[in-house]
Amino acid sequence: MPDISRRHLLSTAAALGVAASLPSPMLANTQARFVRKNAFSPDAIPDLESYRRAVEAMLNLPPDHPHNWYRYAMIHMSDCPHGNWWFFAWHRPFIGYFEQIIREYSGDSNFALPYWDWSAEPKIPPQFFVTPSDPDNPLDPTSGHYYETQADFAADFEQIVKALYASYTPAQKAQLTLRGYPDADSYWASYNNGALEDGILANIATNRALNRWNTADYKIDYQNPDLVDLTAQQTPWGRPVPAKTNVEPSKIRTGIKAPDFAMPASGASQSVYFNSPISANHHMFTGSAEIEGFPHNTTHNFLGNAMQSLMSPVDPIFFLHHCNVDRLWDVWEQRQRNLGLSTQPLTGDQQAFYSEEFLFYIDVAGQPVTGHTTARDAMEITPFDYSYTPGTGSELIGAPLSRVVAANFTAVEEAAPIAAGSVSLAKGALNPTLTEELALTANSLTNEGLPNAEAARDYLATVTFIPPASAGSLVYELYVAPGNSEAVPGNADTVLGGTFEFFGMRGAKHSHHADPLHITYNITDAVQALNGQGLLEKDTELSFAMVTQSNEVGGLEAAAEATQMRDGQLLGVSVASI
Amino acid sequence: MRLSPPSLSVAALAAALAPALGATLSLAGTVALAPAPLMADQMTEDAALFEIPLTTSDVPERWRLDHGPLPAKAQITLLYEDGSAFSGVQFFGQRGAIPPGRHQIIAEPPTQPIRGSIRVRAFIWTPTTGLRPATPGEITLLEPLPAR
Repeated sequence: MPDISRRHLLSTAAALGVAASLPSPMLANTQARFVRKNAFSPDAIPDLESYRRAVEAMLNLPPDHPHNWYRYAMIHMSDCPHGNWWFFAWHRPFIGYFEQIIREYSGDSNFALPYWDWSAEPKIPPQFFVTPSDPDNPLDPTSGHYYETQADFAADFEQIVKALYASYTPAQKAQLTLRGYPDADSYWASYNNGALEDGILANIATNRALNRWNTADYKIDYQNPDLVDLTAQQTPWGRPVPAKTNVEPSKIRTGIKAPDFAMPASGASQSVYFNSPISANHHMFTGSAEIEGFPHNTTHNFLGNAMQSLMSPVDPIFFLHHCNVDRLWDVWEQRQRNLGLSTQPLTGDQQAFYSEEFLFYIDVAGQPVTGHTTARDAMEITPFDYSYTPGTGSELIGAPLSRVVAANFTAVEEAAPIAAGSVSLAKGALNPTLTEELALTANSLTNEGLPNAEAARDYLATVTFIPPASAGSLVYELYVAPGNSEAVPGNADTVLGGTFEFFGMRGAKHSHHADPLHITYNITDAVQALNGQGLLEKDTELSFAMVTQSNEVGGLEAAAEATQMRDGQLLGVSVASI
Repeated sequence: MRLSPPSLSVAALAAALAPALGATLSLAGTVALAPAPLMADQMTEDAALFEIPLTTSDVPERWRLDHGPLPAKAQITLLYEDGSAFSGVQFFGQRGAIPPGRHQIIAEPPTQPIRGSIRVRAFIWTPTTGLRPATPGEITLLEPLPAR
């Protein structure tokens, strides 16, 4: 046995980025009552018809009604996070409560909000346009259902909005102050040198014809519904908008293939993240990750005055747009779970993320939502009981790791001490067959040498085991070898895949009957090292050995644990590539 | 009349950017190479130009961009030196001046073969200035991120 020092193990673990995966309390809702469908699917036609009825009904409600169409858009204006790590979480209840309200006003108790999969169909669905035969379509914000001018809107809403501000709770006013609206006047409208600059009124188009792009050079209508890459000449503001490019499926897949939750707002970081950067509150801007920054922002900016503003929910297409954004978050969450990766912020960030309060939601009864207002609450799909039909990116979800590979654990045996001061307590050989995807990629790597940007993948091995009695005092090493030989630490064809240690469990005792734990190791470097030695070919199997050592170098405790480790049980290894 | 779908063509973009590119290119001169990540404030002659050494002929797909304070309604456009699109940042929902931020962005593949390094120019668009080269402190970091 080689002399493997604890220092070596720990430094290797840090370099390889070992990840621990614990069971998530937010499991996928696989039997949801409501299924959100692709808006271009024939199955979605009844939902779109119900949507139209409900939107018209909400447009016809008086301005002092909480469900008035413009009033619901004001929730977004008042509280929506953009450019920070609460972006996805805040919008989930916003469209979830909206969906319930649409059921009420449409009379369709089975209504589920369709999603606009712009990557598959980069054009506005035809139901959202006025046409010569349908000139009064309420799903088109240029129709007569919408306020023709800002003055018309102000006549109906100025006093309503200022009274609304006065009715807000101190906590709500504190949020609005953080957002830059410390009083009713600034909330309604603020001016700079006489020019309307901010507030609700500033987010209403000066003319409803401009709610969708309508210039001499470019106009969006039923004859021209496509998301395209506008040239500088075609936009009145003189710069290109790469709308089609930014919703391409490849962009979506890149955004989804980010293994961590939210990026630090500054400083060095080596990973990539699904959520936009961490911020101190949800009214701050700190940047964007791919899904928010590319398809989300670009689609907003492409469509016109309504969608470009914080009153963007005035355009009924908003909710289908954000339904797709929420779907992509759901895809990411399912993918993460199947890979054994976390869907949550890092432990040290969780309190800050979960405790943020969203205080402006309105429920189906027209009442402010109470008791379910934290970001932790907002992450849950369960209260809204929906799922999605597959769309762009769904192919990345994959299967749960337990189905990817059948792990055949063959032996657990006691091993001799491998170094002074540390004890090898148990090891076993596991021979899962490489998935087809992994095998093909391995073959590609072998044939083509160093991976190029497209071929480069991360390989994740998730080890399932019942921890031994003194789980917290052990280092868990995972060794990898080609499947035609046994993984034996120290052998030339055996590579250390990674190491794992618990934190905060020192002295903790686990019983035999504890639930299995899943520890995910990033074995990318090990796979590439074996490939570099020419040891991986198509249909190659991998062998694994898990070896535990005491992290008490030379301590008496190590000897005691040597007998207790046999109480632990290794159950299997699954491999996936991302 | 239905408009034919336009595209983000090099020619159209180059025409739109001709004044800005001309001014920028005349200022560019020679730029010292530096290892990635390249900090814009380390550039001695041109804050709008990033030159990033690459170890392969492929341009990484995912990049990190940091920016400093930007004017209200600003947008960021990044171009390869031949004027073709590299990437950019579109903002949504920001009112007033844009505070510093960090972005993961996706690069378009180059239209010209890559040999050793790429040169990317950063532009800021605002309604009042149109497209102009980024100035010191506006784009502070552009670095490739590992593939996933």
